Amino acid sequence: MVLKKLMRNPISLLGLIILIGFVLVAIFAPKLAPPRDPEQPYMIPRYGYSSTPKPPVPEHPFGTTEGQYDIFYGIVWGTRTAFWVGLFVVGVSCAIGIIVGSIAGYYGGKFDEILMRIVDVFMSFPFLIAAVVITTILGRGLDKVMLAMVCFYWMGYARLVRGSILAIKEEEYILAAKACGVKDWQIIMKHVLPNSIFPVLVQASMNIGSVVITASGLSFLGVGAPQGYADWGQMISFGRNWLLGTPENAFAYWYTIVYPGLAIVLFVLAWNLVGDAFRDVLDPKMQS
Amino acid sequence: MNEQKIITSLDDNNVLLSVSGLKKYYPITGGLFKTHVNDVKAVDGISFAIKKGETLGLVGESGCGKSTAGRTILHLNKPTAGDIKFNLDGQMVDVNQRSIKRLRRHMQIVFQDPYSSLDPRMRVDEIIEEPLKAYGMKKDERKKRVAELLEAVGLGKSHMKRFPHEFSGGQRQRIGIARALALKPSLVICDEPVSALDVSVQAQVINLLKDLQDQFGLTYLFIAHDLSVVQYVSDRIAVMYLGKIVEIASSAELFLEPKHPYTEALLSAIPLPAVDYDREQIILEGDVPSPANPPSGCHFHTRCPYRQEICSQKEPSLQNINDGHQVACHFARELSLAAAPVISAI
Repeated sequence: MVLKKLMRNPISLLGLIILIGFVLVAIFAPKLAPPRDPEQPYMIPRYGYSSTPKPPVPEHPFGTTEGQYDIFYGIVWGTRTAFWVGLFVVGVSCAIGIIVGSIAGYYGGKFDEILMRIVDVFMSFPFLIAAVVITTILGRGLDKVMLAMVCFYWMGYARLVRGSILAIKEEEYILAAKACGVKDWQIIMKHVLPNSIFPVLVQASMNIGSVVITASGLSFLGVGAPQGYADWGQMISFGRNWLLGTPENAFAYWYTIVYPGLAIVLFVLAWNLVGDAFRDVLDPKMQS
Repeated sequence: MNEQKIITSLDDNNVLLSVSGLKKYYPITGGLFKTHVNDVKAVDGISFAIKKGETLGLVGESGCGKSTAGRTILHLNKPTAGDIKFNLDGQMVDVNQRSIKRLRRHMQIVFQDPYSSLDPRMRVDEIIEEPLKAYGMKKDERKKRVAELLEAVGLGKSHMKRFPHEFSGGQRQRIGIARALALKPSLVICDEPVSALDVSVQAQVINLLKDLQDQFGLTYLFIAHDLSVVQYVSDRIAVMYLGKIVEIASSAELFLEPKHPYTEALLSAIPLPAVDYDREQIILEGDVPSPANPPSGCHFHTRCPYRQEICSQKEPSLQNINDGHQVACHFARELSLAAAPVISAI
């Protein structure tokens, strides 16, 4: 039913189509770009060691970037990385946020005070610097980046959940349910959660895109995935020196930036469109 | 201290609900360690009784504690002190944390704001069957009862599967009424059920409430701030000021012979449907004092045009003036107060 409604709106349909495209790419990655070493499919194969990128040829449809990493391979396997990072970081931080936020919102008082002060402490760190520090301490690697991001992403959800639970708690239909003899846990399950959790789900679906951007940013800064790992951010970081092309041709190395950039933009756009559509679909007032 | 005594000339067998010395205080905390500083005395020791089948109107300006009183009776707020007794099949049962589970099906509430009292994510039939579900009624019986209720409040089967936002304020209030009636309660607390509605719709909903009362033998505690509405529905009226009841009388008597200066002022404020009618309106000076810090003696003395020295020193208790007419004023017998300017013919 939700899907049907998503289909009705052309914009959300577009988002859905792009997203399904990415899912297919991620699923069929071994078919689209067979790994040279099946043990380490995420390592992008290199075709030489020259630092100058080479333009697309039939064997390398998107060309090769600095260090002769195959761009097409990196994009295809990078899709899996993007889904993995986005879903994991958002999923885990969302879960932490919902637990912390609902305890703070529902029980209030001292719980609320203590938990929200902890949230404030976490929020007061500048995220990028904190992430760089964490990865410096723990070492480079995608798992460490994800850990760092979870550490600094859950507070938003906690605040969102707490806020909407506080608002819902005051609604008269909660009192009405109580007056009708509905049990406490049933009130939480049937009235409080459904009315407070949907904003979080919408926010989460939109955040998956931005998490991927942040992860790419960290990879670009060199604190993310290890050298040669299939990750869109790293692909862009490879192309950093070739942005300006040669004096004769400014766009000589366009493929080093455009393909990974396009992948990131489309991925984030798709999640945003779907998230937007989610909000409309999940709000009974928007259905007619 | 100045506990108001229960004074009821009502025959006990006929009483459905009796409230005595009901208090609801909200603590004010302050300082670093959130120590208890003071209380907001939202409801400060009220006592009254409602007979089976009658409508008791509860009026007062905003913030006088009338809604809090209604909700506290149903234990939606925990009362700070006081006794609430409910007549369950001829037996007066104490309403407390424990018995309330059993009593909820007999005492229901209609809320003021029809926009906030219905869950926006539930369809009409789900909303109305919620209390039935909570009391374990089977599915096909529930379906039947929901259809019955919708018809009783003037809605149709076609409305069952719709969401609350598809309805107008008046229709939503009808849904709220249907939900309140689902369990066949004997007492319904109407918490300003029409004050959020358009005037034209108010009349419809009030008439619906009256019809339902006749049809199902309901007893109402009708909370409102609109005196003309209250006069139209109520058999008796209680006037509240700053958490206390200052006067209770039958509807006609209260309008014809008010005994409390506050009642007089309220009556004189009723708007009249006549432009050229010249009358003396009593304009109360000042604001309602804070219920956290009520004036000494009679709570009304700061704004009373008839105040004497004793008013600021001694708190008047609710006294029987004549049969069932109770007033909390030191000079209730001496003052001759103006009746309501025009008593509408309804």
